[in-house]
Amino acid sequence: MALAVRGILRERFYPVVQAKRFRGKINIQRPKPLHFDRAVFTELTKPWYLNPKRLKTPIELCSKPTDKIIEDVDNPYQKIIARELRERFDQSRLIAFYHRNSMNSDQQYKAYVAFIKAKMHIKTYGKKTLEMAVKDTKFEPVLDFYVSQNVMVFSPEPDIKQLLKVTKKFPQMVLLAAIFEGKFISKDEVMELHLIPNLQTAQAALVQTLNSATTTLTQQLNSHQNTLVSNLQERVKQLEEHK
Amino acid sequence: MSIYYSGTFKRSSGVISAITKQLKKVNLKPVKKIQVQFDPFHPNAVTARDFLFHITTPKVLESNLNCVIKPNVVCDRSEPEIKVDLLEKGSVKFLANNLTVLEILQQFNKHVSSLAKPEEETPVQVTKLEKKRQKKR
Repeated sequence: MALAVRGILRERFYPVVQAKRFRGKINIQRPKPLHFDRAVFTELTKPWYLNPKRLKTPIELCSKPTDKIIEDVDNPYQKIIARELRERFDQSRLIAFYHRNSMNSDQQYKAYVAFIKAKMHIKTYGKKTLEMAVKDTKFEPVLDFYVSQNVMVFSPEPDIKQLLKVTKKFPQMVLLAAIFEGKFISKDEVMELHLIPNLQTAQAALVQTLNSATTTLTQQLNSHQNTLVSNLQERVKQLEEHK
Repeated sequence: MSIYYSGTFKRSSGVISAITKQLKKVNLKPVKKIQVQFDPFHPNAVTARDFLFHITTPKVLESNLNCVIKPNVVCDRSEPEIKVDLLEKGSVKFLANNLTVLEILQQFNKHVSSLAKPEEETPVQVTKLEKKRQKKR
């Protein structure tokens, strides 16, 4: 067996090489007419396929295929952002919603800085993220007016006066609505709340109104004595001047 | 030999390109004040808000720096409207409840921008040096 192998290796096989073409262009456009038998064979062996559309009804042919519509792929990063947004909604006591007109990035940065100085955070989120964060919660009505250009401001303290003070400097931001201590308030109500003084002054005013009856009574009782005292004081002054 | 290119060189991007086309034509010169009133909770407030956004772009504002654009947010679920006060007597009111932004801009151009007088081109005095340079080119 080994000898047979060696024998094969010893014999050399030299193929006969016949050149078919030498340079020149190959002919595709005008092929030579084939021999009849060959032509018949090629024609019979040409592949043919059934039309996939032949048994389909017009409605199947003409309506758009629904399986080709690509649904949004699950985005975990968006979920994280949505969760963060939800936490902000729950933790901030005052959330203001603005319509944003076109601003320079310089102006935007100034607005960002101004709000940070007032300890508030200005944020822009997309509608999809907001939907993910806010759907099936009590904050769902936000989606109703979250159209066109929007901006949100989150504040841990319910300080409306500061908020309005900063907003006044930036006329491109138009206040739409707010959430104050978990309740939705419209712009008119924001203005009303802005006018209310802080708790101490309100309490002082209440005390004053409660005491008003007694104070008027004491004033009226002491009126005669007070006039006498004031007249005597004036007389004393006159005498001193004469001296 | 080959056929010349036929058709557009640029492709239009839909409604936005139509809106930009209208915005380029907008001229605020005959306008004294624009007041955009809308309720954010109204379902059709989008158009008023979009119109407000487009009209406060710097390029549009450049046409008249004295024009005041005032957004007015109301809370009584009233329909959105846009009131344009002209320098000459009169005002135009757009009821934006059932209009689209494109339609509002088209009508704005038709009624308001058309009132703006076209700018007169001052004849540019060409010096001898410049004429020589132009000839050389």
